Amino acid sequence: MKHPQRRRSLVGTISAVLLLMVISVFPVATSAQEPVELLIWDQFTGPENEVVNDIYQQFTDRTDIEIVRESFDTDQMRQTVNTALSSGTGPDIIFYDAGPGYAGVLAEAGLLLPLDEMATQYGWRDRIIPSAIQGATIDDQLYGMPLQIDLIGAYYNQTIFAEEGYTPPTTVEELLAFCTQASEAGYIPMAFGNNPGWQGFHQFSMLANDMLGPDALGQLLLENEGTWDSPEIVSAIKTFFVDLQEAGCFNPDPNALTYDDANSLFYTGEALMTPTGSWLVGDIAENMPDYEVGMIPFPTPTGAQGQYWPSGIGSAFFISASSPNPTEAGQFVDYLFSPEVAQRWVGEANFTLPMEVDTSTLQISPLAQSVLDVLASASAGEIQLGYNVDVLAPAAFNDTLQNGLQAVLLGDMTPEQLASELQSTWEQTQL
Amino acid sequence: MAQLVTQPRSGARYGVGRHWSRYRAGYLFLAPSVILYAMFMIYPFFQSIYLSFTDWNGVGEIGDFVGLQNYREMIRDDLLWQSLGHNAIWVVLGTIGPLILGLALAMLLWRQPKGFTLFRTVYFLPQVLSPVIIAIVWGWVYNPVFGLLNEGLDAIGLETISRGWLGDSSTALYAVLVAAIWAETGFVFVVFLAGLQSVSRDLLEAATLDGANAWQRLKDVTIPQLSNVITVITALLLIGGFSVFDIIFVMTGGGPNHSTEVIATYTYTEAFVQNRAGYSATLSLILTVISLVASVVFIRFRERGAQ
Amino acid sequence: MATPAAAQERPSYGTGGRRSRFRPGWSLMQYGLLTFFLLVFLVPFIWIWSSAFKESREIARDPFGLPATLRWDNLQEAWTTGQFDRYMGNTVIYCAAIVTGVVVLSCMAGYALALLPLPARGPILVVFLLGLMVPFQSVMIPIYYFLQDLNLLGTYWAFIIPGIALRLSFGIFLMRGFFRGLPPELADAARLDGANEWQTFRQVMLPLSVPGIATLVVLQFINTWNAFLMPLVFVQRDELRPVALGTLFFFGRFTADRGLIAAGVTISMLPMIVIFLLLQRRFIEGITAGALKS
Repeated sequence: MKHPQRRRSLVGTISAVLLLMVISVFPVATSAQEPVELLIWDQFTGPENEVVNDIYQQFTDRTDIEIVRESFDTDQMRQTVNTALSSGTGPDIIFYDAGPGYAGVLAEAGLLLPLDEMATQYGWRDRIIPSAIQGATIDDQLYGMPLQIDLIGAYYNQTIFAEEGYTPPTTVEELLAFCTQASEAGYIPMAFGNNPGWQGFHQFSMLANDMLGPDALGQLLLENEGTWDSPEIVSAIKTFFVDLQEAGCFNPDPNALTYDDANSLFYTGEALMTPTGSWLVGDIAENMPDYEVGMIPFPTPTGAQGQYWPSGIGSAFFISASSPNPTEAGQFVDYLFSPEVAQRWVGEANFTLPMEVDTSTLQISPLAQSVLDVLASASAGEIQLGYNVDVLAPAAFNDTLQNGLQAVLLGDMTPEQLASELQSTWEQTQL
Repeated sequence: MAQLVTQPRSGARYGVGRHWSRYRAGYLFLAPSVILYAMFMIYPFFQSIYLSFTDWNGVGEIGDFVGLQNYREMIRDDLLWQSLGHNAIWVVLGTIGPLILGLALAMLLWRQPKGFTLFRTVYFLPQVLSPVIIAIVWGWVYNPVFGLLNEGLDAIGLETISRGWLGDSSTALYAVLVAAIWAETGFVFVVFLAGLQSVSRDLLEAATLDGANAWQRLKDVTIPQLSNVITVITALLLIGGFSVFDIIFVMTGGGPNHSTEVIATYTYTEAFVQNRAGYSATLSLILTVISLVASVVFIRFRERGAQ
Repeated sequence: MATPAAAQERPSYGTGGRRSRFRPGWSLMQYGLLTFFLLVFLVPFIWIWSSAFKESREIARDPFGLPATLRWDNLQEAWTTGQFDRYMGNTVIYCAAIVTGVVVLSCMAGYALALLPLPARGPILVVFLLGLMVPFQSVMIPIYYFLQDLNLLGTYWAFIIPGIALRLSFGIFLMRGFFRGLPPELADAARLDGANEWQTFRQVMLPLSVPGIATLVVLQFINTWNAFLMPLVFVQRDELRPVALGTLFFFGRFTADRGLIAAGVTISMLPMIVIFLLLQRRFIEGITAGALKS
């Protein structure tokens, strides 16, 4: 092959001419002309769906900018977003996971629009808390506007806990005792679905923060100081993915169970706890009208440095580099973070935003309030939050972690093996 | 290419004009197909070969030429060999399974018993449906919470066997394979049913009179007469088996822990999730080579059979 | 190409009755087996169809019972939220365009390669043969970027054009085989009557090849209707998705709502099942002939 570029364009020209002749007889997807149309891909498939429609619609009512919405399951979005953005005809705005392993890959490929100018123009940096801005910043450039700040912990069914006389476990030891009690009473102690495997990131993060302490974990993740094959990491993996599993804390076959199926087990009261993030608060309110639910930081393992809530920004709004209407897209993103819409995100969609929101007029459920309280005491410096590993780690590392945690659950790999694989993948990504 | 070919015939010299007038109709009939085929098959195929020598990330300008680096990486890539191993299992079981089941069903319906049309319709039904549908339906069957299979096993007292079929690395591949065999059997079945119509009944009766039992009749009389059909079906299933993608992609996406990864799903992930278009092109060429070899062997085999 | 005679003639049914030397035991066992397999193939579908009429809670409580009442809500909701009307419409467009394209081009090329004078016929055949052997994955990445260069991504053409191009090999070989089975004297006679090549093809040879065309139509129709990977990669916009792909994304979005998923899957498979039941013989003959002649 001598000149692939030239050949490409030559064949391209010939075929374009030929195709033009055919195309004229066939209706092609119409490209909007008069009112500007923005295509947005989001991941709002839960109970917030209707609120989102309404929020988008209000924007159209005011500005005459048409919003076309396509919502996706997270996994399917991850499988298709690359091709869609690089096609040049993809969405103008995507609501996608921040962090180097997700949006970072897209930004590096030049698929996302840097938002620094818009941020200055609209004053976004004054609105959003700095740590969230930091989370959507890649190579010193701001690319996204994070909508949610997440806490990861464990939900427990307060109603059934009270009926059965259980107390929420604070240490792994207590958790193991609870598991025995609950199983004997015919419950699944903890619902855990690890299909297709990203769920394991969060459990790993909780235990890794407790074992290493957020300072050391942060050093490792952000400064590359320390190693992943330390005894603390091995123990973090072992505690959740071997010990709890062997003690019968989970439903059978976590690897076969999807996130939604695991949540259903918790919603119906079959399972009494479930370890996941604060993004589920809205779904819980919707699906568990008959139960009171509380959220606690994950029980601490023996030898831990302390008990920490891993926290990180969830998904953020990004603008495609090939969007023909970046100005309107910016206008829309700004609207989504206006004080009035922010109130709706918190009050109606049950989201936790990385910005000041006046909640005095809102009705907040006790569960959502407990999340807001934790975040408030964190920003007041009263407690230290942990790191959510996968949103800070590169894609290849996440891949090794995801498959490795599945293998450990299956007994195909030991925690020690996984820890050393993590370290070698990490070293490759740091080159 | 075609213009260069001159065929001197009976002493006459063919100029461009004579050549054109002789072959014009052929060229014109062929031209649309050749153009389309060249643009969307031949050209991409060579482009793919070129990409396999680059480290292109799939976005923007084509990456740097890296020589054989992708090929070196490929040889050391455990995941590739693991995927090929899964392909091998898939090809063997995914061929034998439908062959045996399809033949059995065709034999059962050979003499068109009452209800023939009903049975044939139902057996063939999965074949007209999309792999997406098959995969979703079977995903439900295997669901660990409410799946048909586990509930069925529990109901007949086999709780010990029930498990999360798609979440267990030792069963996931076979679980997907069962779904695929289930879907593919209908196709094999109808082809056998057609093939059986040409099996000589006189020979079968003669064999019966000679005292051959049912198994001997099947083995010595029926199957040899079906050998041609068997070869065709085997070849189609084999080639399909190497490039299997849809059902695995939807049911497991290659997981858990790559235990259902095959070369086609691996290629897809490398290209569109990991943004490694160059390496992905290298992987896809392996798939091509395997398919080519399988096809050529098959063609030779058939030619020999036909002679 | 060796072709079993059975594939060309219709199987002669009804001869079995005369030879009734089956023992009742065998017959019983035969029906036992047939019914067993009938259930194996049917039960998963019946389960999904009946779930489509249930609430998710009902499914969770009693996954296998028949629905207490026939609730049409799921189906209605799936139809509207899942935009199945749009997906179906798209699929019809894709099928019409691709099947027509493949059939027209394959007939012309197959005819040329079978009966018209051509230089280098052998090499051309080999090149088209390659298309039968090269798997789609090997060309999908370059085609994707090629379509991008042509500004065709995000239009119906992104699936239609490669859809036609990549199926040409199969169609050409099938039609060539068919035309070679026709007596060439017919064409010669037409030419002597003063017909040009196009008229000869269109008015004499093409009508004779209707059975071959029917086979090709059936196969391409099934393939296109069910296509998944090609639209997944080339068709990025939800509003352009064909139904198989639309179903997959629908499944991803509503996976927790089992009643709704069952309804969506039921809707998605319904048209194909109806078409199959109506044209059953054509389908089965088409598939059989396609397998044995390619």
